[in-house]
Amino acid sequence: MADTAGSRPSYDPQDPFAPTAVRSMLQIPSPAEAGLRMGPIEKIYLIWLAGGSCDGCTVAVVAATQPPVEKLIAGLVPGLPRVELIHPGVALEAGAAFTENLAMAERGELDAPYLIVWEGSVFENDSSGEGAFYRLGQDRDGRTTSSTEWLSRLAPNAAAVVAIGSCAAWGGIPAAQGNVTGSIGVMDFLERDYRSALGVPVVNIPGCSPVGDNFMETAAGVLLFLQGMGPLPEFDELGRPVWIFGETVHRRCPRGGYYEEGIFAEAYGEKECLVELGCWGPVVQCNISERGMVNGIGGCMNIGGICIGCTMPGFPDKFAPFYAVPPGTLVSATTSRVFGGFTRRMREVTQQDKNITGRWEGKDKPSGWARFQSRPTKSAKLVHKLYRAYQNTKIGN
Amino acid sequence: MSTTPQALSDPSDASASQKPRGGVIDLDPMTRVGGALGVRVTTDGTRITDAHAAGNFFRGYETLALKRDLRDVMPIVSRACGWCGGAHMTTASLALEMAFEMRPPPMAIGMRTIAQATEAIWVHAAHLAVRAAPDYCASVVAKTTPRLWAKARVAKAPGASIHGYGTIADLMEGMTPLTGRYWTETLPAGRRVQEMISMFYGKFPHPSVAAPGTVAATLSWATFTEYFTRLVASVDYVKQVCALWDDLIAFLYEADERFLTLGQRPASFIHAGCWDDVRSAYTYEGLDENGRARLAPPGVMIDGNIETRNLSEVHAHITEHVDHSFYDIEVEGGHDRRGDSLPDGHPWTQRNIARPAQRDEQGAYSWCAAPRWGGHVVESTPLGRLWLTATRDDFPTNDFIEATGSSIRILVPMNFQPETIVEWKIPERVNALERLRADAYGIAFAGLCAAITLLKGFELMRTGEMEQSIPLDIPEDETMGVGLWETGRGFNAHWLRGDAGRVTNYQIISASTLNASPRDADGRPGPMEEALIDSPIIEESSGDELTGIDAMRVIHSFDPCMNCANH
Repeated sequence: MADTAGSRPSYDPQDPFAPTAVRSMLQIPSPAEAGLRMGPIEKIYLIWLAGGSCDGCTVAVVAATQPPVEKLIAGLVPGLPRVELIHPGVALEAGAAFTENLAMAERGELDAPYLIVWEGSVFENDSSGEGAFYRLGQDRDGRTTSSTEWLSRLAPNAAAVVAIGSCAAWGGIPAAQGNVTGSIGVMDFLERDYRSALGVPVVNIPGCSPVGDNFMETAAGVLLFLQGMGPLPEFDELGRPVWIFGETVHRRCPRGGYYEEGIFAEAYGEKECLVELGCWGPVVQCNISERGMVNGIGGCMNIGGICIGCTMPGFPDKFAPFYAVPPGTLVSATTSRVFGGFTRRMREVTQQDKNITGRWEGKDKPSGWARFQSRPTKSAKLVHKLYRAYQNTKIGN
Repeated sequence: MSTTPQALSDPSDASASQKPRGGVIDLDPMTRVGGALGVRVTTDGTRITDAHAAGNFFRGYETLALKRDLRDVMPIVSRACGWCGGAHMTTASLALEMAFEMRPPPMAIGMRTIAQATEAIWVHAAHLAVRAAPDYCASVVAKTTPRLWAKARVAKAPGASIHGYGTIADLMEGMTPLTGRYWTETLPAGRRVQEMISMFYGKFPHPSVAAPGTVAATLSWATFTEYFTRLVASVDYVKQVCALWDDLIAFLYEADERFLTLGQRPASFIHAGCWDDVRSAYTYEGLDENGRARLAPPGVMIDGNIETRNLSEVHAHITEHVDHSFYDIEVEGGHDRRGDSLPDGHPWTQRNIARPAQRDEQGAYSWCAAPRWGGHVVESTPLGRLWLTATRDDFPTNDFIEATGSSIRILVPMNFQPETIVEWKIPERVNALERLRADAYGIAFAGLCAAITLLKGFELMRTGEMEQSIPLDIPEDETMGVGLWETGRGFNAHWLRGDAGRVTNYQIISASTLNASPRDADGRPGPMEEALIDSPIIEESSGDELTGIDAMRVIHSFDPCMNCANH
């Protein structure tokens, strides 16, 4: 960008409507904040831009607690730099003063490095001047700029580009069948050879919306690494954090045990495994079944929802129709019915024995709650005896 | 926010030459809104003389829904908005229930009402603290209206014992974005509400447990009790927010009476109503009956007169115009579910085709379409919802909420602070500050509507009515459905046409489509534009630079969400 210093608007750093970046330069860390500083980076700008977004990723990040966003922007998380947030959803300034933040980043005038977090799909051809699918202010010459154009202008010098949510990572719903906006993902747009100023390819935190803490934790991990404290976080071949997306939903699912024993929910609301209602958990890479959605609460199958594959590049079209049973289930669920069914019955026999104290052997249980007394059958007793005899051979072994 | 001097056609116009601050204020991009919005206002220095609100982005959700399995519209179109995805999913569910002629079991309806009222709490609370309050924060007031700031510093806050801010200036300090007490306290409080939504809808944003006619959350005693403890933990926040906004608004009216006309427009509202009774059935023939049983009622008010409270009439007279929007219209069919004819421009009779172009205020300038009701310009905000509620005589009997005809009395239970009755009164005028006050009281209203339904949920559990789902029977032939519901912000509707199990047309109109709409076919401005035009400039800044704060306050009072609006 050819810019002459004289044509730049001047802003008063005391003016609440001045660009966030201008106001930030005056800000002196509070004593509490300074005391928590543990690495070379004191401050980092987080420039949040959007394309074909719904704000859902923003809402999800607000819900994060590891760490919570209000502590991060106050610089009150030990070891982490203060995060100066430039986000259209919270900025006090509007209009040209807001886009001036972006122009300052492009001109290299920020007093700290900047990260780009991109939410929503990228409208690939959105700089054509024919009318944009996402207009984001104007350039100094009065030409309308699109958010896509700002991504191409800011990505080369960004410390890192993080694509939050499945739309940003892969294209998501706007890029699905019926895509009229030329929607694609950030990696598709910046292409394979893209490296940030720190040499990092695009980092992807997929999900629709993602779990807020998945983003926060990854961002905090990267920042701790840059501070010389944490290890380098590991990413897979699609730029996903490995510790988050390395396993399937099903492996960590609270209903996984039902699958193992071949018990399946037949209607919504039932507590068993959901694969026969259309759950794609066994093949989808996501941790929501372990982490929950907000502060450990919620989560799809944790509560009762089928997995529709929202973290995956194939979402949504390769998982639709969502309410039909995934074809692979026919084989795997039948197998688990046969073998799991047998295992479950054996476990029930053992469990019956373990529900009896030594004192109660051969007698009624002393519980007033028991409406009728069930005693092991003769064959069950024999099984219990053999089972315990075998168990006892392990003593000292 | 650059200000360019206005070209004066008549240099001898003395009154104009005395107002050097006039000109165009370009709030593009407008910040602290959902999605992308750009607003351009023209002022003569004392008031706003013209305004254009432009929806600045588009993703094509109506097209993305086409040709899909009918059931799949729920998870697809709900993703149009991350603030109120649950409301869009519920609205889509209603459209399908009508199309499939399904009747969800009482427990499913109850869970839906609880989750949805809770989502409204979140939308109100987040809007007030994160988007609206910064317009009244200390640094902004001190910079734009030094005289007002001087008064604020000595003005005692009458509700100090409730919200803890000694003076109005303290309260304004609390409203500072990112660091103020109100801002930083709302985030954890909001997180608790997000947990509450997640308990019933699995995930927030974008719920994962709904299917047509069904809420799939596996219920146990723990679900209701965990929800209940969080609801109780939230009641003090509700008392504080009502007191805080009451104090601020009373101070502003007293300190400068121009706040009375800031963002004023006629009392013309449209609401579809929401939060169903557990025993209700949603059918096209029974829309009126269904609407009457809703905790937040449907209705249309024009200039303060209630035109109808029948949901069928609210629906029948809606039309959508695209004369100043980036769309072409394709007409398709002209009749409703019964075969009766619908007015030209009714969403069931047409589809919008995207036609990107440069912004041109004489021609197309927005990705937002312009819906009208019976030709009237109508807004849909929490203010309209409370107004229609206060004046109804059939509010269901309950332990917490009373509609008196001129007010709503809401009993907010005890927690650390004592049991309090908060009373929202019908205001004398519809303006920016009354919209915000309704948002604050809207938290109490939504919260206690959730409590009313939670008690019904306990009752269903006691009597063993635990069914949450019904089997799906998808019609093979042509089918139609409309979901009429509300987000926290107001009206939300989805129109569906299907054939052979697939979607053939899908149309969405939400509160912000109405509120942020551009000019219509007759050139009449949308509600937000209308509220801006003639609104006073209260800013005292010296020199010839205006920050546009007065316009921002008007815009934020509508809580515009362009994700919903443009889809």
